[in-house]
Amino acid sequence: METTGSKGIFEGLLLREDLLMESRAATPASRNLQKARGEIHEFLKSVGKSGDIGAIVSTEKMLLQNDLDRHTNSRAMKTSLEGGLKELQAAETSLHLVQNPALYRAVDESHGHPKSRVGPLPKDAVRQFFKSHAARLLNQDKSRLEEDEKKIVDARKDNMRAAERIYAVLQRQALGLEGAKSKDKGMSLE
Amino acid sequence: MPKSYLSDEEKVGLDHNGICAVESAAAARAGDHETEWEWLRLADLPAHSLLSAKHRNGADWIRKMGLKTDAAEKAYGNDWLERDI
Repeated sequence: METTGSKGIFEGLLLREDLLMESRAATPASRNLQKARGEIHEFLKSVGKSGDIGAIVSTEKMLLQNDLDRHTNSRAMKTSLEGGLKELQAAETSLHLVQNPALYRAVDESHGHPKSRVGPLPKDAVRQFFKSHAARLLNQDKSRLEEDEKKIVDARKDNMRAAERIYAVLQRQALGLEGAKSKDKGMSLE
Repeated sequence: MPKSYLSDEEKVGLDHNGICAVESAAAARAGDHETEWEWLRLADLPAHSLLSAKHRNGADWIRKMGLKTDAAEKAYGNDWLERDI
């Protein structure tokens, strides 16, 4: 009956995958892996809450490098991670400019095109990184990852959004715009 | 117990569901589909697997295959095959 047709064969394959995933989840190694990932998740959340944009960026850099070195299993993934890392490095290089109003005015002026601006602020390399990297992480959120891995992806995405907000405040301060009062504790660039 | 296609060594470290899965797979590879499903019928399928199997194949299929549905009944209620979930 239904057990021998191609549908039956495939159904057997799917059920066995589920059963073995269930078995694996019950092993001590799997439970401890989950705990280890939980601790990574907590760490990421605390970095996000710190308001320290330098720490957010350097933590994300470590994660990207680790994914690239340890978890890349397709050419598309490798290209995406290398792209992300390059964008991050570009962002890191220009992150300090925003602390110097004179230097940052030059950045502002070099982003005159309306498409290179977000309201009154320049969409510079740093902002572009936060935006495109959050989108990259959102794509990972759509893939078949385990729940504890998804939580980590989620925290990274939240951190990119937090960094973008902190950075917008720093941009306003550098350009002497209104509403530039910072609620954040500042930044460490090294 | 259904016919076994595996040695004891091949099952070391596996729990009940793991053994059912690997025995079922070995039977399937041997072309013995009857035994393949006998092992699957012995497995304690998780509720979410049963619900997904119902979505894929319909409630009648679940009944006909004689899978163990305890987990789904516990999670979704005894009428889980009659209701849209």
